[in-house]
Amino acid sequence: MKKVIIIRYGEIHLKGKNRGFFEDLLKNNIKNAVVDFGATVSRIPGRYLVDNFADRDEERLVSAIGKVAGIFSYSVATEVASDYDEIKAEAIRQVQDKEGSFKVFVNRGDKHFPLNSMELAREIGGDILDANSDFNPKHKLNIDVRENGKTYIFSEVIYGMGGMPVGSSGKGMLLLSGGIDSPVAGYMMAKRGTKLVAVHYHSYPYTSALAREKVEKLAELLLPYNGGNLTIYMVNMAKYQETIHANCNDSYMITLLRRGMFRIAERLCKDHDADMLITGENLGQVASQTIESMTVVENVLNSTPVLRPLVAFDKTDIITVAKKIGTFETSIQPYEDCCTVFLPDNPVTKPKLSSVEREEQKFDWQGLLNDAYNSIEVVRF
Amino acid sequence: MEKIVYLDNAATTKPFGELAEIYADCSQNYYNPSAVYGGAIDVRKKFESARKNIAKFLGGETGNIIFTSGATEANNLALSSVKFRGGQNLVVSLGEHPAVYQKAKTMQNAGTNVTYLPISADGAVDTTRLAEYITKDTAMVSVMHVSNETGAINDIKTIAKFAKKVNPQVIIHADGTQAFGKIAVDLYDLGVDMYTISAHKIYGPKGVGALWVRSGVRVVPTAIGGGQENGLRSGTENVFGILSLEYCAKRVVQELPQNLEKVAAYRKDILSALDASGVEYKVNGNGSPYILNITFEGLRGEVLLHTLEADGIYISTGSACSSKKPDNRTLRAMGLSDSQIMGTVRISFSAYDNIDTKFVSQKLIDAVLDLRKKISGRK
Repeated sequence: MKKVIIIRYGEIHLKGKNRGFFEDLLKNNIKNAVVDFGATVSRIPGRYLVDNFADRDEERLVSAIGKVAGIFSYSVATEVASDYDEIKAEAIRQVQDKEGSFKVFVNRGDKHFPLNSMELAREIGGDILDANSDFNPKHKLNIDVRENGKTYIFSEVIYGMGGMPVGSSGKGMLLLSGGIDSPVAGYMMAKRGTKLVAVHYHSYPYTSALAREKVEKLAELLLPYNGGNLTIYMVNMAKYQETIHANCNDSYMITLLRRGMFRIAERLCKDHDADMLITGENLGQVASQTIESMTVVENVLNSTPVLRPLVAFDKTDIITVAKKIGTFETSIQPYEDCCTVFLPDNPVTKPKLSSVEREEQKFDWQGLLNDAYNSIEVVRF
Repeated sequence: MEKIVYLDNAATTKPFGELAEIYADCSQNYYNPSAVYGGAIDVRKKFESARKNIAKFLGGETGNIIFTSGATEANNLALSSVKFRGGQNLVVSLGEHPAVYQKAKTMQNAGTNVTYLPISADGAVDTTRLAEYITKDTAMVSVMHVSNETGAINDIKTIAKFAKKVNPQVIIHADGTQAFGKIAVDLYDLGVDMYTISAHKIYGPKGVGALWVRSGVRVVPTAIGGGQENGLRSGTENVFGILSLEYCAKRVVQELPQNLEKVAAYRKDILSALDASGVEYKVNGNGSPYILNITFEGLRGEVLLHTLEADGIYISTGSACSSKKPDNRTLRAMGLSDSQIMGTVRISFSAYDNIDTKFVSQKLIDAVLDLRKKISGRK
């Protein structure tokens, strides 16, 4: 008798020919989530099995597995040989301290097992009642007879985060600001299988050194959703902003800044094989997030798509997710990412491409962005 | 990076190298001072002697030292020791360090009546207005001796005298963390009942401090256990910390006059250079020369901090770079505006570093001028 965690996966079932690829990917992601506990992961038909862990780590393992995308549900179970007497002994043991009603559910993956699922449920139910005649039904006992000759007995089913295994839907360059939205955007995409890398723009010394610590903290919180690692490219936009401030119409600061950010992000995508930009933009939330602004900013991209998973979310919905994934408390620390020293009083909310391009002719943005790009600092988590 | 010019000595100071010798001694004579064999008794004798000496250095022979983990614990212990009967109040100043101010807030939330003494534009409590705040129902007054933000020196003697006249039973506490060893401190003359000191602000190790308590004044312990410190603060004594505190206290008190002179010269040099450069600035709180709190309005303190950091000069700001309202209770209480608070930095000196004030002044002036130019916008 030993404890294991059995994991059931969700949408991967649907993926036909690619099923093997998805299953290996998910197995690898689970491995990354449990490797610190010394646990091992194996696959049995229709399930993954996490094995070889200490009782003391069970709670933290359950939490870690809850952050792996592509898992439908999982249970901490006791593994016994698929033998009627062994199943019976373990079933009775699991309910011996319980009171109230019970029901036995059986899933017979192994069609060679002598009893079918109805029969097995009935028999074990009878055995439990024989062993404890005071039993008044209230609990569930699950018996999962698998093809590997083992049976898994458990009472609780924990729902996983769903979605697709990270790495199954390309690689995305997340514009991670330090606010509430961008970590949520990253999480949403990771949940759909996108492997994240991140770019953070700061304006040191105009922005606080604490803002950087905050971004690093957010990155750490995103790690478990991203297969256990995350690379951040830290880009200093101070010179670029100083130059805009000295040469251009201040109302265009945000637009010009964001165009610079997108240009750098696209170059990072090219150099590091990312397939898309991911932003936490949300239609109408602030001046830079009107459809006109988004259009003018996106216009600098040559071929890289921008995915905005939060575009139509209400702020309250974003906050709900931020709280769920644990980034909210960090995001609301006051240190900002992008310098407000240069923040205009009246940013344009509906910038025209022609006006923006005219502003860009007033300074050497190519040179400045080049310099910023060449001094990027890479932080790997 | 070049050599660091450390000008954040109000945050912490560089420990004296001589502490290594004290540590070496403690690693040989490591016995628990509560034990009864000879070696342990020797250890106990050493720090009992330190206890007496430190009280003497403070001019506090009429009281006793309780060793703590630092100034925060000492301040908390002081405020926790007073019983407030039937509506009696606690008076603290608006410029207090959080170790007093937040403790008072917590007591207020738990039902204690707390009154806050305003501070003037010079950073000190206005002693002409004490009667508005300190009454016969005041059970305790806690005012810091020197402000950690501005260096402003409070007239503790006048405050204590006034309060004792209004209510002879009142307990006077002063947080002397930024005062002891920096300006002259004589507890007998000040007329306080409790006084807080900390080792790491006077070139000692972090994690040790003390509360001086006048004989006969009640202390209610918060750390209960093995009964150390006469049952007033349980926990095996931090022998290395205590002996280090004694060493540092002795040295800074002995060398106080020349230290003061040295540091005052640093301060004067920088201000003279600023004057000569024509850079606009405003000094907040004229008191201890160890702290130079200075506003460059229109700039952001943290931007200036990071700019100087790039030249190896470490200073401090009272308010983090934030889009929200700048937050500095002391400066606000002194009447500074948001943009003044935002543009304020704190430069604090050590008497045991040799500072090239010419270099520091020039870098400061360059940084201020450069940043003023950059944020002033389009030419």
